[in-house]
Amino acid sequence: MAGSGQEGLPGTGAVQRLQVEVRGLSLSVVAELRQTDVTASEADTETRRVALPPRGQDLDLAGLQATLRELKRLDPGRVRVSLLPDDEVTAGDLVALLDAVRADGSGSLFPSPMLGALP
Amino acid sequence: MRRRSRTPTDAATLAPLVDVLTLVLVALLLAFSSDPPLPVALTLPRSTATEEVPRTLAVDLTPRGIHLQGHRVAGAAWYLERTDDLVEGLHAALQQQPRGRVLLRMDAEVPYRLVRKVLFTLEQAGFSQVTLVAESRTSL
Repeated sequence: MAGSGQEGLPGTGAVQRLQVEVRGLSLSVVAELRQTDVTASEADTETRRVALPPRGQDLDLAGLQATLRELKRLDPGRVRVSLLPDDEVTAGDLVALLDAVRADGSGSLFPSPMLGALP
Repeated sequence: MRRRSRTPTDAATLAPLVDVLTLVLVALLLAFSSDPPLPVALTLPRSTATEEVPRTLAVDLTPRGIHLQGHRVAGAAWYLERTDDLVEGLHAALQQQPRGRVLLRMDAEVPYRLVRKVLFTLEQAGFSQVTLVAESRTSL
């Protein structure tokens, strides 16, 4: 996957929770992954965080899409992702993020994004 | 793209989602009208149906102000500085409008702080169907 600071994502289980945090120009993909194929208890999930620092003076949207593509492969039926921008993110960047999480050059990623707020 | 100097925070806890709205991003080629005229001259068939065409409201966010249906209802700077999330001027104006879908058009430089407050205000006023409007890249 693209980006640095990432811990890697396991190849098993579905994505139980998926959110993209945006702090300035830094992105963090937070995914809660189920460890087994059956409905898992909380103990059977693992939370992974993939950090995507700025690419020059821009968001690393390519790294974001690469990370999301891998998660989509783990859970092809998932359509939702939560975006949590900080207050300084511009509307232009917000729309760019919405574009990026909905689809990449290979097709649909998570076409039903939701917006939230960082604590 | 113009960038400001920003300091990342390192909050470690995952954020609970608050005021979540599902947004649909639509792309339009040129200036958008919330009441688009018929594209060509035509004579519509007549019907006994009484349902009205779904109403849409246009909310515009600029660095200077917030507009509803083309009328300025609040200043942007004032609400950017405040800690409260509710934009009272917009909320009051929305009370005069029938419920329906909202088309939200944002200047690209408007910060998410204002977008978030407007979304919160729309939700509080009973407008939960929000569509973001952007210009199509393919038209550039």
